[in-house]
Amino acid sequence: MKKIISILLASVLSLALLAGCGSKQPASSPASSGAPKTGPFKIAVAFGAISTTETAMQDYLQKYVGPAFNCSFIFSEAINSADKALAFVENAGASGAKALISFYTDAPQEQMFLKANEMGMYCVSNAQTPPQSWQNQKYILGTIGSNNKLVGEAFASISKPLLNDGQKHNVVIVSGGASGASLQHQQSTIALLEMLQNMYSLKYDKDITTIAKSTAVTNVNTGTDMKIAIYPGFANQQNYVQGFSSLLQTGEYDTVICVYAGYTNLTAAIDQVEKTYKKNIRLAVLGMPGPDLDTFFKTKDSTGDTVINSAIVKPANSVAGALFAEVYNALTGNPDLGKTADGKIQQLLFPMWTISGAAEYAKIATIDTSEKTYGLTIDDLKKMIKVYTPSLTNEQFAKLVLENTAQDIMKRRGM
Amino acid sequence: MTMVLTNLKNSRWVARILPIIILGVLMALFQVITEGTFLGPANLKRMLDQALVVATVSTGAVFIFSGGSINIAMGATTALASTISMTVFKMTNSVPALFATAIIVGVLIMAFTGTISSKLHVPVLFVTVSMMGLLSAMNIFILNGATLTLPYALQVSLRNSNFSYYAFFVYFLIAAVLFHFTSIGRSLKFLGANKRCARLTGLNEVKFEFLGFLIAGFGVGFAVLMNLIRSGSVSSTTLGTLNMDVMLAIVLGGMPVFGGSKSRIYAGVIGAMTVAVLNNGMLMSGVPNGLITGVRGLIFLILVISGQKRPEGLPSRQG
Repeated sequence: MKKIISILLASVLSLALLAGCGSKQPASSPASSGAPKTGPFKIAVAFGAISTTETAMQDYLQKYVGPAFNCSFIFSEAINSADKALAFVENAGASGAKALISFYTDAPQEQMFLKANEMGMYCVSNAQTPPQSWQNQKYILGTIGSNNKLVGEAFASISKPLLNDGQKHNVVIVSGGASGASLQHQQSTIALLEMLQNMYSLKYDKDITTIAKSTAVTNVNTGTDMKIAIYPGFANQQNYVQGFSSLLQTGEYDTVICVYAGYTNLTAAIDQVEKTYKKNIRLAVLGMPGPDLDTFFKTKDSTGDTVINSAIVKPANSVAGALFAEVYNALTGNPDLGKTADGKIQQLLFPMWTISGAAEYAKIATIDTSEKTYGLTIDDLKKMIKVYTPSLTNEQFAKLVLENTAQDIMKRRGM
Repeated sequence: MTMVLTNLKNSRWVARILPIIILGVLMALFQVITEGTFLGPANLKRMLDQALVVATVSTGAVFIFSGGSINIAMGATTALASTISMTVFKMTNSVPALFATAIIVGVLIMAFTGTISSKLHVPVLFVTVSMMGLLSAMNIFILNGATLTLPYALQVSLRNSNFSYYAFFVYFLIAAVLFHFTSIGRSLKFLGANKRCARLTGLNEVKFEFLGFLIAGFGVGFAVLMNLIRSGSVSSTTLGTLNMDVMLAIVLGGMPVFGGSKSRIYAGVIGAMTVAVLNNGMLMSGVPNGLITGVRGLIFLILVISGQKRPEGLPSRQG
């Protein structure tokens, strides 16, 4: 009996102790001295996954941004369904959160935001165009992120140097969810097919959207001897990597462009083919700053080239900063700063970073990783917040969000 | 001391009330930590809303688990029934059609699973392993990457009608009567305690197992509607963790996974509420998200240790 009581008491005690770990009030900080009386505010942050990228964003918000603006944060676990999304918003609201920043951008996010709106929580998302049901909802502020067109253009821009060297190239486009689930993947695949068409004067036998939406492995009829293969799907599907490997084992392809962040599953297959045929296969990817990208840009393959040749990168901390600025404006009485002139919610564009080669990566990799190099510093954020910059207009806010390419930031930092 | 502990653990009363006591202790603890806000009416309603779907499916699942069967396709069944119901709604724009489809499809899928298992004498676990894959594949095929959404105004109006609470109350009441006051519940518990012995007494195993699936099917149908009213949408990730949540709820509610005489109809409800209370309470108490999973796991382990008993020899089940 004593053991049962002691187990129960121990668990009660550990819960009580752990409860003390979370501070209800943000710690005071020298950075907040002299600031207008704004806050304290508690802000919920929803994640669709927890990886090094999300952990870095948590550090940026909690340790860097929070103390400066008198804010504390409640971070979700990895959300993977509508019920978990709703439960997180409800529980965060119950614990006093007044706003929601969402990096969970799957379909149930629409309902999650409507729930947050019902609960009087200001919310902003790292998604694309906001759905119609979000218009005219008092607490929904809109979205900040890259749109399909920008991503497509960025892909075309990083792939061009790999392909316009006057040599003949055969390309595999790893198209992810382009067949239906992801508009971004579809738009990127379309942009790549258009770029290849213009560069090599190709004549496809079907319209580009139809080719991009292929649901099975497709050898595109290019009207020339150039080979383009569309490889749809994701690595969690059965025989996905084996199928990719078989395609490369034909020895015909020398360039792989992966339109989603799943390249880590492909590098082993590429390496194997490079060793077999003793030929270099170039890889262009969509990635997040972090150890994977770092390793692959620094590691040489069997042909002496880097594993990844070029990449599009989402600067996660800077995006988190821009999203924070928008909710903080709303919390301090300026909820319309991210909206259009007629008060409609919209998507504010945040640029993806493009990296063409290991040398450029070495430069860019140092940005947005620590207090000294964050893309959006406290001073940058204050320029985006009306209580600190009273003259700030909607247009200026949108411009400040957009002016965050790696090159913009390096210029700001004098790098 | 070991003997005292074992006796306590085996005592039907300790097993019966311990999950309820622990739920009460957790609620009291969070009430103190949150300085009286945890047990406010709004927060209690919130937790009830979060627990309702799992509680409803778990209540039905008790009829399957009590007979000594483990069904791991409850989540896939509910997800497919949701998709089919929403597809019918999109075609007809009729709420009665949506409601009818949810119940009919839920019952039909469960009846099909029950028929294969009971009539062909294939263990439920093996049938449902296959069914889970089949139903998930059908769900993905029908959805084809799309998300089906209930119009927001309709969702709000259905929510305001309190349908979910009435449906749960009626279903739970009927399930409780069937499980504790009719031969259905008694027979299923007998089967769970000792299938061979039950057969030797002339008990119609096929009939009662099939009935168990049928009753659970109604729970699935109601849960489909509750989930649609709550979340308003169906996608390929909808109810993705429901199956594990249901099993966890049943175990946390103090019911042995191998069924038998200690099976209780309220186990799923207590378990689902315990999960909701822990999630809500820890977040309100300021437990960092990185620790929530660990603490929840620890508490689940304690509850499982106190409520479960390893069978003395498979494949016979201990009551």
